Amino acid sequence: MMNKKQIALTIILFFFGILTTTQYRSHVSSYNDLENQEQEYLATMARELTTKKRLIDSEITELERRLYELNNSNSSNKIIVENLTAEINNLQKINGTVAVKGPGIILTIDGNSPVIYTDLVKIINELWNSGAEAISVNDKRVTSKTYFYQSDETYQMTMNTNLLDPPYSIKALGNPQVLKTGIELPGGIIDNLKLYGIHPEIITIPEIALPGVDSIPSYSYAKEIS
Amino acid sequence: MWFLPFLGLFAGAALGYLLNIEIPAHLVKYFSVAFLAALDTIFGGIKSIQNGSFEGILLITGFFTNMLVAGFFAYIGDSIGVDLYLAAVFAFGVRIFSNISQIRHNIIAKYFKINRDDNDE
Repeated sequence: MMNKKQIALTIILFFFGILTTTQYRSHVSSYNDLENQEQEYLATMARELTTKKRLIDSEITELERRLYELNNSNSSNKIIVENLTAEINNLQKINGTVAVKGPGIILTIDGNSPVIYTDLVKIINELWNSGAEAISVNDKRVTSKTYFYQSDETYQMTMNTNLLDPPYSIKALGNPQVLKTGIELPGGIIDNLKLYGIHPEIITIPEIALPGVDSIPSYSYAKEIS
Repeated sequence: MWFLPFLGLFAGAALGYLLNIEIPAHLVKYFSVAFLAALDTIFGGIKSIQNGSFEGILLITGFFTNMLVAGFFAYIGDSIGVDLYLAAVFAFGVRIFSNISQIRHNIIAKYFKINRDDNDE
């Protein structure tokens, strides 16, 4: 009889032990949880961490400055040339002075469509907005200096100094799906054009080639501010 | 006679410590009520051993049932906006202290051969 009592007590005390330690651990961890801290304590902690972060930030700046100095004093000419070459390549891509290729979309508007030049501008804006890295219209590269114009009498469009004749073919280099989605957003430019009976044809292409600009613009007046 | 139960307690405590189960924060409250229920059952069991009315199977089933029901009631109370949690804490608290008091009386009566009456003093 005594044995039975012991076993019963042992069993419940065993489970009670598990419950107690589990409850203790959970309570301690929830007590230490940031959510359950006093506001004053949290404010103090935030202030201390901010101070610490500022110290570390200034340390980073200092170390970066030292790294820069070391690079400048020690780096071989080769590295400088490499960096400059990479920068030039990048700038050439941005300015459209070199031909580029990559995935993208081609948007074609046929000759019967009543397009005006602002439609082209809106399409190009939307393409830049969707992350296009390079755009061309009728195989002329669009750059930061590109302008469109349309004659009031003949409705002849021009891009920079070139006549723009239909069909208009706009090529954009970038993530094809993103570009297509961006330009076909409900209520966007394509929907707008549909109201005027213009139905551009959009195709995604794994690789398109865009030409570079014909002439590189020269700058005589703009001086850099250092 | 008390060796095995204490071994059970320490084994359980060690196991609970090693398992390191984290009770979700929103359930900690209900587990604390269940804990009180368990504590109450244990003292009730010790008291019944002293009184000679001990029944092992009753103790074990009571232990788990009380825990589950207490936790569940606290949860239901929270769900419907009645603080049954507080009622459970109060009820179990009173019972635990009353049981402890009776156990103390029993022990003292047994070892010091004091004639005890049934009043808590």
